Amino acid sequence: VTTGNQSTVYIVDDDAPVRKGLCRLVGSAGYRAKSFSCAREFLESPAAAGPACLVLDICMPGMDGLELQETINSLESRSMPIIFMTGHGNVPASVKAMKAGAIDFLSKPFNDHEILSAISAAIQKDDKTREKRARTSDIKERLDALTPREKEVMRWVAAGMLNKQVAGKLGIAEKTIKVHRGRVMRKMKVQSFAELVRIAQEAGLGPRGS
Amino acid sequence: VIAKKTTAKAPDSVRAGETAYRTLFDKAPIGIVVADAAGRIHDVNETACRVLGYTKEELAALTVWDITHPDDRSAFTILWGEVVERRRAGYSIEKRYLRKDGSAVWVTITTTPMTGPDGGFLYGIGMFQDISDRIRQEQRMRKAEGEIRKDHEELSHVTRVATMSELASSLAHEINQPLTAILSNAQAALRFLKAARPDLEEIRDTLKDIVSEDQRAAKVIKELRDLMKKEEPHLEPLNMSRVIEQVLLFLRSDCIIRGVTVISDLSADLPPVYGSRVQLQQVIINLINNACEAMKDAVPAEKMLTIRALKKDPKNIVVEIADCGQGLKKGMTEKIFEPFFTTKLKGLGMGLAISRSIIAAHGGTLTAFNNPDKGATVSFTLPAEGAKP
Repeated sequence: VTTGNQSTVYIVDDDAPVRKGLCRLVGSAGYRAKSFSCAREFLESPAAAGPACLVLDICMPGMDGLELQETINSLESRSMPIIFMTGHGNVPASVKAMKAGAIDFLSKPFNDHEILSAISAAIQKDDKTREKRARTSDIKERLDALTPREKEVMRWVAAGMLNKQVAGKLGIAEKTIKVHRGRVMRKMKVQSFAELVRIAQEAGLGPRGS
Repeated sequence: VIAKKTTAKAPDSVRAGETAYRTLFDKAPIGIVVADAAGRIHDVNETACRVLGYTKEELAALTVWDITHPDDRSAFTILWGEVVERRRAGYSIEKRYLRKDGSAVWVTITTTPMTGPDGGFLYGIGMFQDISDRIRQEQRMRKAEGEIRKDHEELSHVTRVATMSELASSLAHEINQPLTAILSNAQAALRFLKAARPDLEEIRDTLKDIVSEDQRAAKVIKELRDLMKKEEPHLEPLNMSRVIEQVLLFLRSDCIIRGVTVISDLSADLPPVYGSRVQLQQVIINLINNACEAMKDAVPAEKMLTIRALKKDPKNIVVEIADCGQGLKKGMTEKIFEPFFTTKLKGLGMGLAISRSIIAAHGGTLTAFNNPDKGATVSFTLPAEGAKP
């Protein structure tokens, strides 16, 4: 259950006693809790480093929960899984929230296991997303180090073409292809051909890609 | 006044004078009863006989107690005793006589003593007028007034309950908030207790928060119950700023749901007003509701409602509720107060009519006008306590 001390749970609710109670509960489960009284306050705060999720009241003065969801979904730096809370069952709003990717929609008041299991799922999801995002940016960095010719060689090689075929396609010597291929392996920091294929796929570098 | 045996020996002039007095006595438009110290009836005039339904002879056998309504006998006994003992020069009261047929008749009666040459009490002379018609009319009017008040209270209760049911989801929210805080705190405390060395200070703080949140929920419920209760309006000195704050406690969520930002400017040193909290809260709820409704189609940034309570002059306070809606159409500033007038799809159209009558009953006035820039303001005055309405 304890997803580690690194995980942060953001709580946005305009009601101070509710915020305080939720911070305690979330804190008792080993998360770092940070609370805000409105959407703006949350958006202006610095983002935490580790995995995080947002526990958000749907009905607030100023920017409401659904608007905040829309805003953070559009900001990659702040994007994180959201658990909505509502004080009065509002079906259209809950449908909208779930469609926009909310983890859960809790009716106040709720039990600890309801919110804690939703938080646990949200944190796990964010953890995976972050991992993927970090890897994607890492691969992108490596790809950026390739010359256009090397990138082209990598695309066709990863697509399963033999060196000779690539040489024929690009109209250069097979020996030169071998040199390019060696550089690609080094710059992409891969040990095997299989690994190169996987990275090319992760980077979306297909035969018909750019 | 009456001397039966002496008439034969008296000279004509004296006899003529006595006849004149006797006629005056009998034909006077007021009833006259003469009684001795023991209350035995000594003489009565014709008017008295007619009002009481007895003959002269029948009355001569009775005492003044016999013809006094049982409920008025003890008060009469005290007054009569004081007149007989010459401690009181006389009295004028309203009382009920009892007719021969047992029915009561309201009279206003003035009683004066007739004294002997030594100044001692001889007779008490009571002169009365039948006021049954006046009393009956008064009773009818009181009853009608009571019914009007009752109808008014009934109607205002009905609209109050209707208003509150419209606010049901907002009220659920106001109760759910403290319940959420209580549950989170309680479950957090249980989890704290599972620690090897529980932080008792933290647990104590948590329990304190649970207590205060419980009180918060209880307060909402109490306020709600007060508003829904049907009872005679209870009058008390009120601080209107507090009364408005209590209302905003209910309406906060409702305004958020409607996307309306409430700006309150409530003077901290308002003189108290004397009135019914429930009824005045009803007026404010109604006016805030109307203001929110008026801004239904406004752009979100413009949905602002301002509620002000301030001292108007030394004798009056004023409460204003301003919206940023379309404002009132020409000729509507008075029309909106008419019963059953409504621009809304739902609603009775009674809100403003009842609000105005409630404010009038409190000695104030309720008016509406368009703001110079945008929207309309509904404003009411109330006399400060001490200032006569």
